Amino acid sequence: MSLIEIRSLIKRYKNKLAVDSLTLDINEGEIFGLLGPNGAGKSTTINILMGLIKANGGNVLINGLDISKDSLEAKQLMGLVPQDIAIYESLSAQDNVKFFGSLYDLKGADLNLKAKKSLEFVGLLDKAKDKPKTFSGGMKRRLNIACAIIHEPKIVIMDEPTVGIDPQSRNHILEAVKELNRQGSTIIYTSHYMDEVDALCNKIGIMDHGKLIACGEKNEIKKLSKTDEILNIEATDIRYNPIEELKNLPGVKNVSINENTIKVISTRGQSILQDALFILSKSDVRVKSITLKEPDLESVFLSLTGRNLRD
Amino acid sequence: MKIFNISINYLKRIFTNPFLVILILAGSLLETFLVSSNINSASSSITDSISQKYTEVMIIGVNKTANINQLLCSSTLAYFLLITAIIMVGLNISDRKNKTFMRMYSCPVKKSTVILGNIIGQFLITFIVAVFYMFFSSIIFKISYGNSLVGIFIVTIFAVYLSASFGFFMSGLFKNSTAGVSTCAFILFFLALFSDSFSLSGDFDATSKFTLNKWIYESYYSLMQENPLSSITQNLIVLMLLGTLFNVLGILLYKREKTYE
Repeated sequence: MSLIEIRSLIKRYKNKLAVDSLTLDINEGEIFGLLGPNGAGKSTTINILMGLIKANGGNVLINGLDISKDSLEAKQLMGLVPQDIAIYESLSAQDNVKFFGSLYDLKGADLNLKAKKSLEFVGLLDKAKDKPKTFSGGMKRRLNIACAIIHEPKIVIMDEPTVGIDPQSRNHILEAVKELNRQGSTIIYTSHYMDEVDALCNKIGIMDHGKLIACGEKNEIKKLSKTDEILNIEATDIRYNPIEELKNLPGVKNVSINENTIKVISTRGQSILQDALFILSKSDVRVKSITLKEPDLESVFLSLTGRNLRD
Repeated sequence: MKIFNISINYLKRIFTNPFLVILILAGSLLETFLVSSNINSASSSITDSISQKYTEVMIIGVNKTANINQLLCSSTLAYFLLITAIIMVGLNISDRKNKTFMRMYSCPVKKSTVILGNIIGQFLITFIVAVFYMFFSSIIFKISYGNSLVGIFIVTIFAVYLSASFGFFMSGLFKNSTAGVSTCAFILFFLALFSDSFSLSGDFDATSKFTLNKWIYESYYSLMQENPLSSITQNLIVLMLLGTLFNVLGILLYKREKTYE
């Protein structure tokens, strides 16, 4: 059964269509990865789901409740972990969690117990009385999560929860997401890190220009690019941009450069290798290493949108 | 219940900043001390020179008249009640910047509850400032606030309402807290200047009508002179209308989409 039903959702900002007829179902118990480059419409969709902004068309049902009509009841079922760290720096970790918990009608001993549980869940119980201004970035991110899960929501929406943190906190957060899901929460997870989405999510939706361009089980999504191969060419010095010339090779679907690595997505990976090397040597690019690999989520994304996820 | 949780949280945030609390609470008393010391030293030298030549006649049985210290206290109180609005400007803008407004709006709570909770918090802190100042100024500077405690209470409620509404309106205008707080402080300084709060000279009689301060300190001063509450009806109406106007303008600003950003 669908826990979240989005039907023909439209959001317009002046002349720009931020969300374009989005239709999507998210089932109970799923970890749903929502991917897309900046400006794809992910955050707008999340803001509509959370009842923060109103849609211009379509409707969203949360567990059967229409977010535009029964917004307070629907919000009771959800917890938002925003991309920005939305906590009070001047209040203790405990006071932060308790305050947001009180907005979900928690009070007294129940509030205290759940605040303790959520701080323990994110590994901050020993820092309960400390103020976040003394915390590291990773600890603040964990507190950001604790504030969203104190009321044990059915749905947890996480918008880039691991941006700019140390590996230890990142692993802690990823484990926490899995544990929340094991405990019965449905998770919507947006991230720029494909490896995170690959490791966590069982269903994935890819958005671009406000539209859902692909949606399905993780393995199905990867198959969308099954005929493609990725040629990763690591070079020491790329002064001349060879993208256009490489794009003209037969079978090449996309070419991108990230620092010193040229990524070529092609239906004929091995056969274009010689021509690609010729173009690079002609351009005085010194090749360090070449790898040919099977498609991953990043390449699926690139092949579907023509853009890198971090563009 | 949620509304009071929001108000308590608002007050907690203020009291976690001891410097701000001391500045607001003690600042008004310090200003009164400095100005009244100057006035007293100036007036005592005049009195000394006069008393050498004349005999002072005191008439017993007529209403006590207000003195310059009472005028000073009423204008200082008005100024500090209004300056407390800066707290709301700073806190609400930081709520938007830190996305805590967004987080509150994502909880099952109405936008109006969040706004009203913050206004009640601001109302309470401004009321505390007023009570603190009146209590300590009556002890330290022996200021008499007249014989109508009810009247003083009513004026304080109206003045606090105006101050909180002004803060609410100003907090909706700015996205940057430094710009918001500085502009608000700048406006309040000029309002105080043109209301004659600083000089108490009577030079700004014409312009003072267009300031917020005048309607507040005139009300307090009238009650200090032991005039009846009915004598300040016009002032109370003006305070109420101005407060309501700022609230309406604030609501319009906060009604815009994405006001949590």
